[in-house]
Amino acid sequence: MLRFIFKRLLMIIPVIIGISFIIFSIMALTPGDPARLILGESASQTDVELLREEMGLNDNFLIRYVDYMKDVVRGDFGLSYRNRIPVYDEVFARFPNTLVLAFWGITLSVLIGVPIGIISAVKQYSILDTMSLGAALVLASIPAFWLGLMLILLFSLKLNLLPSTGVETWKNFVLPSITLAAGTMATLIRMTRSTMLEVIRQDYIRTAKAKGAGERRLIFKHALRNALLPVITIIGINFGFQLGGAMIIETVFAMPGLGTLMITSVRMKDTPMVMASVLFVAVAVSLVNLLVDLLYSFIDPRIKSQYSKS
Amino acid sequence: MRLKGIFCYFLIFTMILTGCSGGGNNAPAASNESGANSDQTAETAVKDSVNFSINAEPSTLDPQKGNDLLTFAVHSQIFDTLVRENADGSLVPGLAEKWTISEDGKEIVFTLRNDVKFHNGDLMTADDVVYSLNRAITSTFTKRITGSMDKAEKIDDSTVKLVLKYSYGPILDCIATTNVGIVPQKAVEANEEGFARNPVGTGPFKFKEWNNGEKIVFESFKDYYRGEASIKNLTFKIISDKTSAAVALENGEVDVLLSPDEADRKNLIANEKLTYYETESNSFYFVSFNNETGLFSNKLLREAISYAVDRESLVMGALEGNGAPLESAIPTNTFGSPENFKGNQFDIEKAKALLAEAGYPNGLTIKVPTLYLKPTEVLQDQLRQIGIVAEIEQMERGAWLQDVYTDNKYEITVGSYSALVPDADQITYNRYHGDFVGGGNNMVRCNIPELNKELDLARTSQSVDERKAAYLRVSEILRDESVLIPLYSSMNGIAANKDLKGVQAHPVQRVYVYDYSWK
Repeated sequence: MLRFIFKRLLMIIPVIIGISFIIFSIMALTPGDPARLILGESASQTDVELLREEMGLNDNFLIRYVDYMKDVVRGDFGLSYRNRIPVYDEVFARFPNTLVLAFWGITLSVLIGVPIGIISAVKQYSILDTMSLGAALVLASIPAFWLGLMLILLFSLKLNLLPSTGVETWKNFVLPSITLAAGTMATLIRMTRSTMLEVIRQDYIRTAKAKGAGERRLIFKHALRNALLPVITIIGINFGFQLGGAMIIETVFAMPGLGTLMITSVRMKDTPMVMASVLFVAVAVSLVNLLVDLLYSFIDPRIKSQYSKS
Repeated sequence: MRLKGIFCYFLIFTMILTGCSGGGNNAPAASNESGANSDQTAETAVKDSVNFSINAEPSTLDPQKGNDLLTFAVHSQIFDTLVRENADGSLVPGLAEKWTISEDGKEIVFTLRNDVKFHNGDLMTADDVVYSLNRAITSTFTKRITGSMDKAEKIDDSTVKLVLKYSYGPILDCIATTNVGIVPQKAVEANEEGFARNPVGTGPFKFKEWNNGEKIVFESFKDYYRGEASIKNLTFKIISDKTSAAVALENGEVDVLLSPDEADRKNLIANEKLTYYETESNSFYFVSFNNETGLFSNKLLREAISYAVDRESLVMGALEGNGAPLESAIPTNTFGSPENFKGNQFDIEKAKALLAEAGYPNGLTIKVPTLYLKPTEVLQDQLRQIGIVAEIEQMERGAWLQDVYTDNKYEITVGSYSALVPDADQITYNRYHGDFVGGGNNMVRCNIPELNKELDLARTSQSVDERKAAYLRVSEILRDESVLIPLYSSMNGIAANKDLKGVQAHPVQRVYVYDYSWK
């Protein structure tokens, strides 16, 4: 088992290298001059050229990439082009906000979505079922941007219950988390429902029922455990999305997180910042995927033995 | 069966799409940058604090490294200048009690106040002033403001001389910008890089802390030379989404909102708890041509388009009427803007005739790269009336700055300029003078000897009337040669809690929180 984990951790390295190369190429090869963006429109071209030389932007992009990676390996992510602060400090300072947001987004969607999915499956075709399917459809179709603004208008402006911007207290995270959870919730409701439906019809469930197992035990001990695999996959994938892409939520709710940092940095062609943010997220997503795979082994003993063998 | 399989795959595909969109990856026009922080809840706005919402984060708090209007607005709370701009726009003594300008206009001698303290308690000395001036002169960020300055010298402990390269009409305006803000020599030399994150100035507000992407916090400076400000705590909150900012203003999380979105204007005006201030901006939108190469080196073609443009409709279409048509290339709120000037007036028949004369009786197709979709769409429609098909290419700012603005790889574009200082020289000299073709200056690539002469004269003359006459000639030449087509100026708006007094909109977005007070 430990070997499996170790191998997976090693595999993160080529992923990081690949991602870093792609992002670096995109930043280097697309139009837009960071020096010009820093100095502004009124600066003369000669000054811009001088700054480019100073920043080393005129070197061959492969050389720049190798230099950058050499520094990264030593833990030095460089200084932001835009405001000269160490990139690592900035990313690390903002990461917790995004992490907390993504965590609550996923947790809410699981806590609400999975039970609804289970109930839907168990009471298939009942009113509850139809309602949850309807809710799932609505949640999936609503754009996050719109939902966020609507929640702000209702809870912040009209009812004055919750703040609309910032990250001061736990109250600031309520509305954004709900907005973020909405989409994933929809997927989870449907996914849980369909896998449960499939599992419920299996022979082993019928056997357990025949042996006298109560409803509770049937659902939670036998059915759910088997149905959970695809659901956990979705949770893992969506957590990755939410980590990397809560940009819109962060913008609407004015939260300083990695998403907004990435948007600003891409706009200003601040390559070190973009690289660090993306790599941070890539590592986080890889780790979450690893965790998901490990969770499989807890749920399904057959998979556990497969891991141990490899 | 086959059908069932295809149907299943379709369902799976839809669910995956659902999963993707649910993760928040749709990006409908998500706005700018970072996020901000909510200090207080709605009801308890403390009577001596102001929460100020801005939509972008200043890159630095080092005054000699700022180069955009928003950064200047924040800097002007921390730093002072030798000459100060008063609330009504006039220039009055600031850190300098008085000054004299030499006959030839190339030397200014300032007599400094001796009672000015920095935020760290040190007294401001002539050395600090000389140091700051020279620092501004050598900085690469401030060339527009300090381009005319040569060097600063200390005469004695309360007198400083500024030597210019040439007599420069708007020199006092330039000295009044925060790029030439006075900084403490010792503090800057001790830690130059750190100064940008931990500034020390003489201004009414002392820097407290900066949470990146969230807020910048200030407290009033007790020993300010003009007396302590009424506002004791000032927090700039960075809220990049304009709608969120408007909501934050409405529910009291912020007290002032700078540059609200067009779409929110009516709501904010109608809101009884708020007051909306606006004034005509010192920036303007225009159609720019590459006068040197390509289709539009043909003057008749440029002229044809100038008659096809209907400024009133553009203001309606692009700004919903909230703006002012601009006939001259010098915005109305700028010194030098000719009064009652008329550009080429909307005349479709004349436009068509000129088009035929230019050699395109059956119209033509053109490509218009731009950052500004709305005005370009209205323009596209207006051009269609005379038979020109315009293909709009909306570009991202970095790309436009590179390809169009710097490398001039374009024929026609819709752009905008703003002056950092409300003087015509700032918005005309580098833009239309033959010596500055290309390289991010003269992007119309024009070189008209008579125009160059007038620009030089207007720049160095010390007579107000002479300068005004020269800029009138400049506007006329630009119109007669159809070098570019000025379209309109937008409005600069600022919305605030109605109990906050002293708030003003400004053509160059200057902000003076020192003048604010709670009723």
